[in-house]
Amino acid sequence: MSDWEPEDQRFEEELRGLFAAVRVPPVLSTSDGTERARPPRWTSPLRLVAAGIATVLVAGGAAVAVRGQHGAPDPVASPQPTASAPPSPAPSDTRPTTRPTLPDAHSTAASSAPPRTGPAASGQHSSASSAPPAGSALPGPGNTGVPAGVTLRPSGSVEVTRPGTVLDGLDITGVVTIRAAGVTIRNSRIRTSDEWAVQLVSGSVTILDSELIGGHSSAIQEGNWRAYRVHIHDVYGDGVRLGSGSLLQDSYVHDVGSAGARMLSGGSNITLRHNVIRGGSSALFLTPEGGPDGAGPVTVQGNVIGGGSYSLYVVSGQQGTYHQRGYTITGNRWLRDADYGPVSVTEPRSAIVAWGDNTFTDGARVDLP
Amino acid sequence: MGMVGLDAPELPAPFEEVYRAHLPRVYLFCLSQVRNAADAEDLAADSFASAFAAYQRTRPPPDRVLPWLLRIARNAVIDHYRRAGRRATLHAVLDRHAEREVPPDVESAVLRNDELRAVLVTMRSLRRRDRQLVGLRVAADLSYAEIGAVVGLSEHAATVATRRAVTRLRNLCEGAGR
Repeated sequence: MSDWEPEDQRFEEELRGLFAAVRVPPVLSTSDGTERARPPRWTSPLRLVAAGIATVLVAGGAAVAVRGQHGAPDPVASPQPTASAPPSPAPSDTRPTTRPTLPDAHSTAASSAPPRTGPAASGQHSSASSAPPAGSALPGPGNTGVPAGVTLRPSGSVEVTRPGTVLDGLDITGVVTIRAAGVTIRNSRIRTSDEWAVQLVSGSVTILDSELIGGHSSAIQEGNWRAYRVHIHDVYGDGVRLGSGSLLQDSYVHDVGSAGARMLSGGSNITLRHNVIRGGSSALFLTPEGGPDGAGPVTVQGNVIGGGSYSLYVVSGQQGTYHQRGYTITGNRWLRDADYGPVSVTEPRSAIVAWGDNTFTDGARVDLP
Repeated sequence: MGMVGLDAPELPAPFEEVYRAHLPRVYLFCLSQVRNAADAEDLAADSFASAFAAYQRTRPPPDRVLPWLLRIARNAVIDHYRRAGRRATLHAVLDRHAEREVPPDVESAVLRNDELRAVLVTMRSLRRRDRQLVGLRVAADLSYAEIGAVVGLSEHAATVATRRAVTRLRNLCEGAGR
């Protein structure tokens, strides 16, 4: 900040004064100038419903339609390069059955995802345990989150201390705090205005077919967690925090204030596979940050990523003090909507053991800088 | 498993209050990004329309409402430029066959302040990120921490980036003889 001079300060004040003198219209009008005497446009819900019916992603030359459930616009999402309207961030009990298809599917890894399982209480799950995993379908609002037909039961915050606990079919307002191993959260929605939606104090958790909304730090705290077909959005901090043993697969992360997925320390067995992740400041911020070093592997495979200053960061911690090794980054697709470029790397090239088949959605190659 | 009770969520302010309180800063930010007052008004209206749809379910805490609104406005501006780019492509095609009418100078009709108009013109030479940062700082009048919340940076990083952006704009303005 040493280059900030008194002249800059005065200039900034002068600019602020110029804007402060602008006459602001007391009520906003539409572009045709006919609504000054009428209420502002946000008073018309019909217009809102009409605005956000569908998102069209064009990837690899093929169009993929993702139908939103409620038709409301997704206001905070960075726009898709070819989108007509972003998807809805609204929580949904009734996920549509139509699924998008992934133009450049990476289905090999997705086959290891656990199948969907209906809630024991309701027994109304349309796809039940025989349904295949999301597989090659592009993760979006139509195939992540709570499946259609699931009846959710309202709940407050939950603290789990018994190993093997299963939370199924809950609509939670608050935080799920995990203090036990082998916990499962499935077919549930967690809406929080706290630091985390899922706080992992100790133990481990697997999250399936669920929707996580909010979190001032992150929707999922770093640690030993696995998440499949999870819809994460409207998070003020990072979408998810990654630590040793973290796996995110077949999931959709968007509308985040900071990174879609972020590491805070070096780790091992970290996997991001077949997700759509759209960042605020970045989609993936991979770094040992505050240390210690990490041995890896860190696998980033078959994702669609976008947004941010750079969509993907692979950077050392504390300006080169800490290093993460063992990156495999293959088969990913970049949206062309980052401010500066697709990738920023400050780690030594030896940290990346595999880099290949990484392209923009229009097919142009993404190389290491 | 123990149920430890439901946290009573803080009720959000009525949206009309949010609209009245934050309209000026959202509008001025949009103006700083698009130069044209009519477009700024339209973008601000679109931003509030989107915010209205999401407000009840998103329920941002009161101190985070303005950064949240400005994130929406920022993305509305990005969309605006994408649409403008597509229109420009279409016009380029149509121009091969017929001359277009020269559009009226809307900005000069609305922005009476020559100095502000010159600044807005110069801001278009900034990179998009810098233009956003300057707009958030001087038009929306945000603190560095609030800017960080909008663009996804730490307060320190937002401070450094914003100051550099303001310095770049000053250099551009001085170079333009302002």
